[in-house]
Amino acid sequence: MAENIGKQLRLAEWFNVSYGGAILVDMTISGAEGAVTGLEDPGEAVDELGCQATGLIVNPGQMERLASRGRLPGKRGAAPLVRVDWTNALRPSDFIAPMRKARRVLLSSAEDAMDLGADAIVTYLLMGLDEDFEAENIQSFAFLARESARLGLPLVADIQLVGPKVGKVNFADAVKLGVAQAVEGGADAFIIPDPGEEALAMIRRFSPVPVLLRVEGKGDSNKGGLGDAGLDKGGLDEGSWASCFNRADGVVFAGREFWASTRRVDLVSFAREAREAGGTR
Amino acid sequence: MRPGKAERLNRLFDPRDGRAVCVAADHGWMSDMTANVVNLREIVAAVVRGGADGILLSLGQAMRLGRLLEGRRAPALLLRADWMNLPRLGGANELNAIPVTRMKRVAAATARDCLNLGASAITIYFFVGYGDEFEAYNVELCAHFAEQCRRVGLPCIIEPMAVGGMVTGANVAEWLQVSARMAVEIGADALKIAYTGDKATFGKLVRDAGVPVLMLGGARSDNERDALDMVAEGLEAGAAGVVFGRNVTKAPDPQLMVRQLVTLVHEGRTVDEILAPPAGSRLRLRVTAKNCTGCDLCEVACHEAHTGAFGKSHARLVVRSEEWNTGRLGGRLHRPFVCTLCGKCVEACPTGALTFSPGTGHLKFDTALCTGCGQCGPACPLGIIRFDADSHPLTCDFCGGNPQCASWCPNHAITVAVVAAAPRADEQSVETEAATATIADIDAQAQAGTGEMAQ
Repeated sequence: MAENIGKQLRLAEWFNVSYGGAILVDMTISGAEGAVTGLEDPGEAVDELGCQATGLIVNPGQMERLASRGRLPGKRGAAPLVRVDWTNALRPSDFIAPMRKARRVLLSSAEDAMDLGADAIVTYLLMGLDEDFEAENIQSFAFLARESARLGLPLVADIQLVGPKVGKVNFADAVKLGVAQAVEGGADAFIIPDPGEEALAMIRRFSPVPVLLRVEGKGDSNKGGLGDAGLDKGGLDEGSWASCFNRADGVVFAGREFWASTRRVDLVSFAREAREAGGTR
Repeated sequence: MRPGKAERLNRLFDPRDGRAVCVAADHGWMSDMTANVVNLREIVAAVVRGGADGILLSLGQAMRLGRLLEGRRAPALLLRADWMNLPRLGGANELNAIPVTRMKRVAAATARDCLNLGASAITIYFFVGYGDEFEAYNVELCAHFAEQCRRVGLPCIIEPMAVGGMVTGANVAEWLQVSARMAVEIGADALKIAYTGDKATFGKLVRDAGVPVLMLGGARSDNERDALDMVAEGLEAGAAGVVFGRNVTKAPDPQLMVRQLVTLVHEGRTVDEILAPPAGSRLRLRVTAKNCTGCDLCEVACHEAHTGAFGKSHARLVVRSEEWNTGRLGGRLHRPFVCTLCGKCVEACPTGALTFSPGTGHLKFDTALCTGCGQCGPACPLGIIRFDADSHPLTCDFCGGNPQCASWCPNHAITVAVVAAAPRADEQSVETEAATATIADIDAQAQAGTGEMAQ
């Protein structure tokens, strides 16, 4: 946990100390893929999910827009986390035009995000791309860590495995590598794809900060986290959901499938109930 | 030198002797999640208890573990201000989740950031030998850090590293010497650098540098004596101390390893003194049969230690092999047989040529008293006593306290154990009970090992 009072207080805004968990909803997909199904109106999405989730991850522009229009839920609902960077590397293969070169750029500084009212900043740690990309990403992450430490603003590393160097064989080890870099670099929490039971247990043993599992809805890929209870299968078995949500310190709902699901509100509600019933830390 | 730098260097180097024992624990920032990365809190606590002068951490870990370093006598905090991907280059790392093919290095913090976190110095890399462009970039980045450090009064420890296609076994020492001086010209207040391999070249490196030089421990060594011997050589050549990483953080007992380094660096004790078994204890050889591959290196090492030549005929131990076959599977099982100090040979010796040495309790052989009767050979329950051309028995003398069979065994089939044992009432005789217990030990070993081979 962050040893900085500003960080501690802001972290506790979305990491619920009473049951020790976080339920985050990532709304930033629109920054790279436009208004995806289910997220055409961000205000509506906030109304729908803002009181179930503990935090909403939003882009800086949307944060300003939502806040200025009074659409954020305030103290009765989710706290805002601002994603300070953008990347084209996570676009799906069926996107309008295929990506030719992976890019990642900063949208805002930590200070800017704090001025916007953020209770944390979220930044990508993209694993598996070329050496130049990785080095720039690490450097940017490290300096964001320094800036957020100065400001007392929690930094969440969003670890994504996207590049050609990552496959099924090294998936779990690549997640572990990303986690090590995130923790050593100064992250106050991190989001990971599901690396499997063994790796997740090791990561949780290692990590001095909250471990958040990304839930993207596809049960048939490493991006999952839901296993057989994938969104597209409609299998909302409460028991399996509860165990899924309690495997880490929290979950982050993200991705096209999540937003396209008509049952996304149920999902987030289940997650919250599961956390409240059986927090793991 | 600015007062801030001087004061902070004094926090790191002991003013009494100008030396420092540091531990590098920043590996998780640049390589895979190995055990030493996972258990960092316990390791840092052990390093503090061991009495290190400094510890190198990444900024993220320093933010969390910094409180373990509270107090004037706690290790000074050194912060890694840059990042690189060398551990993942090619096959350099056994895990290597995401291998890389090109070296990259970037700044990860400013000197001011590190100072604000309570650092007594920053540590940064300086790569040479990889290519002209990368070298120039490294010079520029180091100069940038050095300037920042001058401004805020924070010591800048530069770590020259010779890696890449321009570095060979023949020129690596020269690269290290040159890069050490280059780092000082750029603005290093101290150096953290690999040992060149010999005292002469390392001594020149130290003299040419003109700033305190801390030598690296390098990759984890299986043999702590090797690591300590290297440090002893480096100190003789003028090193101002050490920065040990994996040799401490991956050691079975990091606190003990730090303590040994502190004793060597600050207290002037020799490696033999440091590794000597505690008073009232004895060295024993332990065999883990399942680890033996039958390579016979132990026999060769023993022969070489006693004759200076290559061979096995004068070895004081025997490796035996046995065929096994279950019908579907088969192969060979191997097991080293070593002296257990059972004393049967001493009992059998009619002239007193074989005795137990006072103090160590090891076998002592007096050539003048030996008649070459050969009775000791058959008396040995393990049948490991060979005879030289003069019919004198070749008995294990534990190589003067550093058994070479254990040193050379690549699979730890033979290890040295320190056992608590009261000196024999009369080192010239044998206590029957002790001998019986020793034989029982062997039986237990045989059963606990592969169990397939009878003594």
